[in-house]
Amino acid sequence: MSEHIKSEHVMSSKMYYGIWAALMCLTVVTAAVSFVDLGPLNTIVALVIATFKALLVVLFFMHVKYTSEKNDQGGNRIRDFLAFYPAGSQSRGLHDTPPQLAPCACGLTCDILRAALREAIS
Amino acid sequence: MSDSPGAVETQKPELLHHFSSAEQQRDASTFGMWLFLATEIMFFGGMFCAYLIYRYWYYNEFAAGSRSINIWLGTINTAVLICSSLTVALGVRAAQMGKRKLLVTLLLITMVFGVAFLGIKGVEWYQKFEEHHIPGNSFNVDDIIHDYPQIHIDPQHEQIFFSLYFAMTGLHALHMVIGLGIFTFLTYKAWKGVYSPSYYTPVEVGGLYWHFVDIVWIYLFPLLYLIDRKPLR
Amino acid sequence: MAERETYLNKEYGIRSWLLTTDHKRIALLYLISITFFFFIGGFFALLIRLELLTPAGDLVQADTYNKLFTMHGMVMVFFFLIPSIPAVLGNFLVPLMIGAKDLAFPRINLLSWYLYVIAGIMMLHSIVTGGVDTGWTFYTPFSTAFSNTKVIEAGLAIFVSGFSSILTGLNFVVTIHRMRAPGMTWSRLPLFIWAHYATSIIQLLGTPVIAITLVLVVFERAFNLGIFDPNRGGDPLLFQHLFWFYSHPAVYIMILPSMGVVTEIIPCFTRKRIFGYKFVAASSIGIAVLGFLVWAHHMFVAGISLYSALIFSLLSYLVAVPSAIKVFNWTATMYKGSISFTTPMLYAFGFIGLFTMGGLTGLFLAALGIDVHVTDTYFVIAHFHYIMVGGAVMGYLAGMHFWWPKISGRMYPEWLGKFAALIVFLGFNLTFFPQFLLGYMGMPRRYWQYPPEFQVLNVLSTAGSTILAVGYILPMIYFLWSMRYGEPAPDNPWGASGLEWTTQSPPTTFNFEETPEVTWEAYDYEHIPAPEEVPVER
Repeated sequence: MSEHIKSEHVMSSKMYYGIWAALMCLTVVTAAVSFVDLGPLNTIVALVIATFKALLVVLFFMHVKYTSEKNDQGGNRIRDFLAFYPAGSQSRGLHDTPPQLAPCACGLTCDILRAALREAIS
Repeated sequence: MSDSPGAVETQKPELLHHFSSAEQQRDASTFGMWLFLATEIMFFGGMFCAYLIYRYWYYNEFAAGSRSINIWLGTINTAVLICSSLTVALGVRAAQMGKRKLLVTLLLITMVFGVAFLGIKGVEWYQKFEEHHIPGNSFNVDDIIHDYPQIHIDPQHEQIFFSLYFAMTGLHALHMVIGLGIFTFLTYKAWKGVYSPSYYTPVEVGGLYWHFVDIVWIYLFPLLYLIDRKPLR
Repeated sequence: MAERETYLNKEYGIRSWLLTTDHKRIALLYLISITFFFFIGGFFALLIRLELLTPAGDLVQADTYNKLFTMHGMVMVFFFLIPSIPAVLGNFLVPLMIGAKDLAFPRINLLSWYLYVIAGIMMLHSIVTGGVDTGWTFYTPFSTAFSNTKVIEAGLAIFVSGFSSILTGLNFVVTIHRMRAPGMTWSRLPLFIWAHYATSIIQLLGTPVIAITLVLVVFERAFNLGIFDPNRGGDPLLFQHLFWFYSHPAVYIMILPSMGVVTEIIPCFTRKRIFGYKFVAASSIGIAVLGFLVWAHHMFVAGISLYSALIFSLLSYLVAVPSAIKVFNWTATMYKGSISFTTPMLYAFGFIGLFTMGGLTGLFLAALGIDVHVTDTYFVIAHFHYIMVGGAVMGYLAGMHFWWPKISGRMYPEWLGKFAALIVFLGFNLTFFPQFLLGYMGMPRRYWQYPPEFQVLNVLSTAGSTILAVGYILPMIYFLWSMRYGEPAPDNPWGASGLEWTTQSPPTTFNFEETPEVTWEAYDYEHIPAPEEVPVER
């Protein structure tokens, strides 16, 4: 029985350069914005940009976005867990029935967190 | 690369005996590195926690101290690390495609960036040394106090800022040095032709570590250098 | 007749042991090292108990006494309890129980042991060159600014031992995730594995925090910083928060593996599957998660806000729930079972009773009002020794006896085992029950002299400690004796479930000739025959 080499998803170098460019721009933005007076928002903006940069590195440079589904059991479980959100993430009109909310505060927090996370990674 | 069954063991000396397939070995290795990175998050996290608390309590001193460190060097260093992350990612890709020379080149460039980062950090620290901002017996922040006559700066609180500044950047630099050690090993092995499209896990795993060290700096930069750069009234 | 090949006789020579990557040999390396440190920690305990025979401080000076309880704590916590079951029984059994040939990273496993040894040498050096007197809790600013002892060296030793712990945890998590045999689904895993999985999560996430905390203490002390010095704007409570953020989950690192051991032993000697498998598995994870949320119950009187204390008190009550679930499930397993009182079962019984007492007194301590009265008294000492010694150490001994046939290929003498278990139980209770009374009556901890009215109980406690010492020395003697003269053990002397019992005793180096394929549920005692030969009473 021969060993089959799983063909890994080889990223295009263009994509890497693109992410690199984004990271460099964001770095300049972070430094530049710090000179502008936004009051308490300065810190928040700086950290949000930092988090976004970190996400770019994690998702693309560290290949998390392209992790093979079959092997990523943990990621699959998280995805399935998040997918189990009552009304899904479709946009609802004003008169649509609201989703089934959990009857307790803990469940409510859980639902909200799950929705937020789900949107973040979809 | 022959696919004959008997040749499997001799063809793939890198498959360790307790794994049943190369895939399992690779998955285990990358999973192990991700777990290790989780421990590193907790490790740095403790210091970030201490930093956050004292920044909240002693905002003035932290802001003043932050202004006294060199934002240009810090920004350049951030760019240097991002470039090094690019070369690392391209290096893993080169390994995936079996391009040995390209892989070695990229690993070497990554290390050059790493050394550059440490060199610039050394310059920064030396600036602090000359300004007597290194905590210890010759710590003196009269210059900072003098720069901000309108706010009260307590030198002991200022020392806490600089203690955390050196502790955090020092710990980060130590991780860079360890990263350079790892990459020296990887470069040597890559040059020897050990890595191939079917076996490049150490490069991938080393890359994960390097990216993590980059991410820590991505957070350190705004937290230490950009506390308050607004023009003074 | 040719001796069959086992992991013990496959290779001889010191190099084959010091450079081994076989998880079973590494487990034995750990066994020797942690036993050595158990003696060191026990030696300090004996000195403490000797001093406390009399109300006056007449055996050692006050500063020396401070060093005694500090070294006792540091050595016992970091160099015995934290590694004990995971590094010895976990290392040995995790691959066997899941049907793997070894852990995921055998060389890292060996590195783990070397880190432990290096840390141990650093610790020993700090002991013999003067010791540490800060208490195992390293509270600042005494440890950073005032103590004249080897704080830096001991701190660094514990830092290194922390990495040993982290790497072991990392190895276990990856192994359990990726190296299970075909058919060994998560819900078929022995609960020993679930317990070690939960323990490993805590080791991975918690240990780095004490690592960084000790780094900060070392920096502060070495460079005269002021991070924890209230005179210079620093905050001693920051240290306590950082310290206890690890050290509370650490106590779950110390007890969860023991619970895993007990969960293997009870079904075997009751000939029934465990009651409530899913609940026991989930409770291990529950303890790991909740355990991270209760740390400030060590700081109720340190100056935290009342609201903060109320929340931590509530959470501390909650964390008792999963532990109680385990106790209920063990009890329910035994209902209408066919119980045999073998040595491991005796220790398991001891565990259940003593852990329950320790756990309940923990709830007393979680109540703010009571805590204010008994904090920093012998009540607290009794509480945690009931859990750590009455619980964790008994679980460790239970496991050592249960798996000794598998590890060594020999049976230990059963009557001696039972006798020693009894001595341990009696010695333990005589040592530590009086301490509950002493604490309630107001005797403070870490004091080297005390008012005369406390003497009787202290004398009882010291008497108990000598009996306990005998109880601990006995197994060491007969285990060693059995390696040469013990009955050769069959593959499965207890008729126990679990893949480890399908291998020979002791196993070969690579555990299984063929990778097993699992088609049965865990604790399948309906289909496992009782052992052909129950250990004979001699």
